[in-house]
Amino acid sequence: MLICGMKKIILIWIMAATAAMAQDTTENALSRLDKGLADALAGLYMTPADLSLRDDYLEKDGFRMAIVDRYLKSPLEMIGFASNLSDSAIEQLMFQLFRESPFPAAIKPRPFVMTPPESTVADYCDISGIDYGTLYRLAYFIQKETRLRENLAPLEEKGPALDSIIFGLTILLEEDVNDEFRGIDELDSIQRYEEDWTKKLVDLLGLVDAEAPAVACLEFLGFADDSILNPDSSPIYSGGYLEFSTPYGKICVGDTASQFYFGDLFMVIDYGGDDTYQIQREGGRKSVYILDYGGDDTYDFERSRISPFALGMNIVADFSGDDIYSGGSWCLGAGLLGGGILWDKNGDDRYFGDTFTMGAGCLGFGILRDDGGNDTYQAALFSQGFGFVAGAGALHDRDGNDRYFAGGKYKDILRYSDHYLSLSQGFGYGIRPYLSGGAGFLVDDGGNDVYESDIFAQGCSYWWSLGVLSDKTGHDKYLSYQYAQGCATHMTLGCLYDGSGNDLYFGKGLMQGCGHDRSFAALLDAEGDDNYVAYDLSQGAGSANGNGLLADLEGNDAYVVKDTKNTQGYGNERRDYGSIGIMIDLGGRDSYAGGQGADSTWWSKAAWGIGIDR
Amino acid sequence: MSNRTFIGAILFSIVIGCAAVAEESSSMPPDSIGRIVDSLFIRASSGEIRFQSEVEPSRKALIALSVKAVPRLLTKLGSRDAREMLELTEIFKGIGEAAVDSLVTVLKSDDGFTRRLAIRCLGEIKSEKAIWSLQAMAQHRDFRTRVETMTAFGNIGSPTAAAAVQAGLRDSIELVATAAAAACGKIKKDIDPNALLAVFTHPYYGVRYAAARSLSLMGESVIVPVEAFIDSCADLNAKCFALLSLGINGSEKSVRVLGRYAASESWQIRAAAADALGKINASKAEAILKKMVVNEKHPLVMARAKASLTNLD
Repeated sequence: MLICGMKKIILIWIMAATAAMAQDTTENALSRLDKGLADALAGLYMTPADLSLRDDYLEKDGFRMAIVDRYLKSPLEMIGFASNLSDSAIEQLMFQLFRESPFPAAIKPRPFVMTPPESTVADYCDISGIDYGTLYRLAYFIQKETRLRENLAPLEEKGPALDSIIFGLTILLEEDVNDEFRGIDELDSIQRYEEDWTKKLVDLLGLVDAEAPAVACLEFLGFADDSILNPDSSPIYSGGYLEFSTPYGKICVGDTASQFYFGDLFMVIDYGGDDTYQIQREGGRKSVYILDYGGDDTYDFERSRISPFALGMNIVADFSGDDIYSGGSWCLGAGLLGGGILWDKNGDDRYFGDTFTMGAGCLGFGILRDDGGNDTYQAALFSQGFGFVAGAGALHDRDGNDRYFAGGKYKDILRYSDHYLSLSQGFGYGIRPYLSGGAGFLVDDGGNDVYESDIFAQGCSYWWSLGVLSDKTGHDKYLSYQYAQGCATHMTLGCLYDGSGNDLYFGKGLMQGCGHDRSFAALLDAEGDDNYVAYDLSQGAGSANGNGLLADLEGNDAYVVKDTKNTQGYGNERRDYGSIGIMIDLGGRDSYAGGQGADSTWWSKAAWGIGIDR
Repeated sequence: MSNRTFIGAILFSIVIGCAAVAEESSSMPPDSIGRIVDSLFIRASSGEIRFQSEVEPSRKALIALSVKAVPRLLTKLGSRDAREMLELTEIFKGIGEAAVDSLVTVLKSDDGFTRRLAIRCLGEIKSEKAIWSLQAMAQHRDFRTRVETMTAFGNIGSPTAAAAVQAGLRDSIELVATAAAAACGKIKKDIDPNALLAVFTHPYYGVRYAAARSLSLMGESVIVPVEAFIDSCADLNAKCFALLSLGINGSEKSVRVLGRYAASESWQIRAAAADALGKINASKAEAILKKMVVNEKHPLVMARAKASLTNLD
């Protein structure tokens, strides 16, 4: 007993020491970065204060997130924030973001007090054969849902306005693969239609307490400490299959046999077996709660144009097994005017989705957390850690060799005939110039990961938003084409942080620390022998009064660029003054090909750009 | 016939037809010119890569319509679309003076986007007669309007706006001060160099850079006050910007002053001197830079000296 106690103490001490060392290492790395940056800025006759950006280049709308304004004013602090993301509880960060909301909800949720479970469940079915644990779990979510509906009841008198808001946001977020075949007049007409909807949304959001649904769902962010969602051990169920109806939808309790759950599912508690879920909920104002304690399961969410979970909560907690999650849009840890949590605790899992999925939030929050296994994430657009207006989305993968893919469906017809929009993988997005955007985080704690995207992704944002990709360890590959890998366009913020490992960064342009149009973007790689490949306007590039930073703190690295003139510490001139581009490599023997840089020297060919290799 | 030529031909026929029909306007629906302008504008402001070949001919057709297109184009000044805003600037620039009176009427608009875009267009047209109307905009409570006004003053380049842009240097918003500093260098005449030197200690780099650029554009008359400023100023960054302002093309006098700082103990001062020398197309500048390349130990100063030599070549 004593030895066991001692072991525990030693283990705690080791964990604390390791955490403290990790913290020290991060702080040391960042202080070295500060020194390198101060030198680089001195070479441009500047100070760090010169990197500060304004929060009002245009008239501020009412949807700006406080975190965006904060890091615009102190952009270097964003790098420290990104480097600490993997050690922090994302759900607490989400909570903080909503506490700082620019338009706090007038509706304050009442505290949750659990009433005796028997009477709750007995209203709907015969409880004589149900064990207390199961009863408790059932009652817990029924009571939570009842309270959620009560909390949202004051909004019901604005029902039509809310429906319009949900529809309007759908219009803004959905893309059409047929756009590439449309004529110029038709596309113009669609653009006007979307713009009209945006203006209408601005008006509608002013009429409705639109933050209330998200605030009402915030309590679910305590899921890591919730004894239902995170019990010490998996519960055992001795009963048989059970199914009954409630006003909220169908409830199923499954034993360890493989089950096929389908239809208007409100809640499922499944104790094992390889199960199949076909979740078909329609309209809005629906919630779904699924606890699956074991087996290789397949989840299939119905493809809906309008989110069924708007003004509601969706939670899937899968405790073990190699699972497949498949859906269209608005699911797999997505919250549109509400909240979404998908928590997979174990197994090699595969996630497939279309738009606004896998950790996406708008006027709400969405979290996809995967605690282990080698996982595959595949989506088309606005996904994998995506934040839209007054919302936040996070994908947090805590372990395993993972593969992330975003794109391949909706063509970027504005710029290319053969590339696809991604707008994912730690991406924040707003509607120019009407609605400030949200905050998107993709956090991966370990494993050798592959990130693949096309246009706009990987620690990137557009229009008064924040996008962060933070990967703590492992030999990772970052592949993209444009606007990626620490990129920010139009008064916004983007950051890619990689803690350690021998990594590869590959892409064409506006990436690897590129800020465009009064934005700040950074790529910081703290350790490892890394390879950086880009064509143009990359590797510490500032454009149109934006500021870009590429910083590699250690390792023998290789840098390859195609265009010598606008890479590796480059800033162009716009509005009669400059953009700032800085590239810093603070250690190792490095190789350069095609650009201005060289090992162990300083360089500066552009008035607004500088590079330092130590 | 290539696609581009074909579109051009169609658009040209539209313009010709439109011009002919305009003479018989009594037989035309009152909004027909508006429909033509709308159609052309959709094409001119299209950002899609597929429709790029339609942009230039459509723009030209709108410019050719001149005052006939102006009333309809004015209704588009409130656009929030960046491509449309850019295109409107190009079209009004092309139409020129004929659009000035109409644009001036829009300056009173309560809509910030409309007002600011009208100011930008007036600046691009470089209309001196717009200056009197723009003077009031230099005091506008919206700082973004003041920024556009300072930029417009610079683009017009008339000394009539000299007092306004020098007042703009003292604006509490750094973006206004930056635009004002840049405008000073485009106006030159009646600009007091000391007003620009005073902003070298400004906390925002844009102001400092724009002031240095403007001083260098004002010619040798600034050398004496700049030298006095360098001698009296304790702020290292401000000194560097003062040195940059001595990059006056062809000025042997500047070379002499900069030569003194090429051997400074401060690497930043030497770097700034090398930067400035690279902008002076004079043989003595080249000689100093060559010497710096041979003797310099600091990698950044060396890089700047080499870049300046390349620039002189």
